[in-house]
Amino acid sequence: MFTRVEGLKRVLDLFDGVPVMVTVGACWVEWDALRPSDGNFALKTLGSGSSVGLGVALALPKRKVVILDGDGAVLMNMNGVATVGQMQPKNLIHIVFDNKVYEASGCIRTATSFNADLVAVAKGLGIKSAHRVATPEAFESQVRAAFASDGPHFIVAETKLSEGDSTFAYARLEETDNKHRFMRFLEKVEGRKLREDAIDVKTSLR
Amino acid sequence: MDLPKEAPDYAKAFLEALKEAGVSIVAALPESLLGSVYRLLRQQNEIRYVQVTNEAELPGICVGAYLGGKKAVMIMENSGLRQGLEPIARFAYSHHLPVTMIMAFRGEWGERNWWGHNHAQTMEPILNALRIPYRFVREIAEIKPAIKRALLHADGSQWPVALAMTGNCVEVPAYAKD
Repeated sequence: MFTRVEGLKRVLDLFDGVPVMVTVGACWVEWDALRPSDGNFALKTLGSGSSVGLGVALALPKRKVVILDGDGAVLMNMNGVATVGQMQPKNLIHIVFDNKVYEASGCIRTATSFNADLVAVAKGLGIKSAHRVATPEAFESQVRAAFASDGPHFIVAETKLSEGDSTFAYARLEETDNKHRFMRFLEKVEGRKLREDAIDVKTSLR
Repeated sequence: MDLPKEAPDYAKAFLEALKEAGVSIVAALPESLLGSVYRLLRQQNEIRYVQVTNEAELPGICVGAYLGGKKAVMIMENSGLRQGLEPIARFAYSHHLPVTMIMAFRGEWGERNWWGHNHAQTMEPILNALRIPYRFVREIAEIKPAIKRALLHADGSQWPVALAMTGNCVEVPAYAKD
């Protein structure tokens, strides 16, 4: 077992220009510190990662799109994984850090600490590239393989708590700012305007 | 369900409206009142059609598509509003993200199905509680301007909007035929 930070540090070089949807809590705090970027979108709705990630992946089919998720979050919306299994977006990489507890709310056990097997579920829902990793080396290898091949990919990383690590501090996030910055980030890496202005100024001034 | 070979006028107008408005992604949970719309969406390739298994997925998919620069709408029965409420509310009140909802209005005046009435009874109070603007669409001629303006309103306000399809803009249940 390893920590999220130990794993993510090994693959940071892959994320240049990559939009990343990140679940709430410590995962966001750690990732935003490891890769401070306008390309990090804070998911405020637990479980929405698979759905938002799918939407971005469908909108930008030629760009790798990554979801950083937790076991508690992904369990809240397994339906979203079913739809990914149906749509088969080649560019989507869903990484689930499975520490088997609801870390942010007092480390109460999640279903994966009992009988739920997220890899088996993902495979059963049609995601052929679904893997479990338990070491930082295996994590790095699997993530690099996902970036180098067509997906969808679903990687479950068996992680331990990042307890006692005071390196990372929660920075207050203004979500509308996060939205605008994220959209500008996508426009920058895509090299084109993605959002048409709703208002035709010339017309509206008449 | 056996569907007629020829799609009803409302469904053809619906699809044309989506295309003319520039919608490129539709996420939906099929139900009966807009049955021909889902069938037409399945039969074409111009719009990417995403059929989900739970209405709570729909806002996230539309939000993701919007962030990526695509016009997207979600379609469901009005019962789905309750199921999709948390992500709709969260994306609105946190990021101020627009979502264009198109709902079949189950529970219209004269509804025979006992199970459909609560959908109508709760839809407007929920939309009002969330301060989500909405319009009823009853005539086929209203479909195109309603969808076009809904998308503009959502984008301009950076807030969800809703259309409730009823009257001549849904399938006609056999029991309701005059």
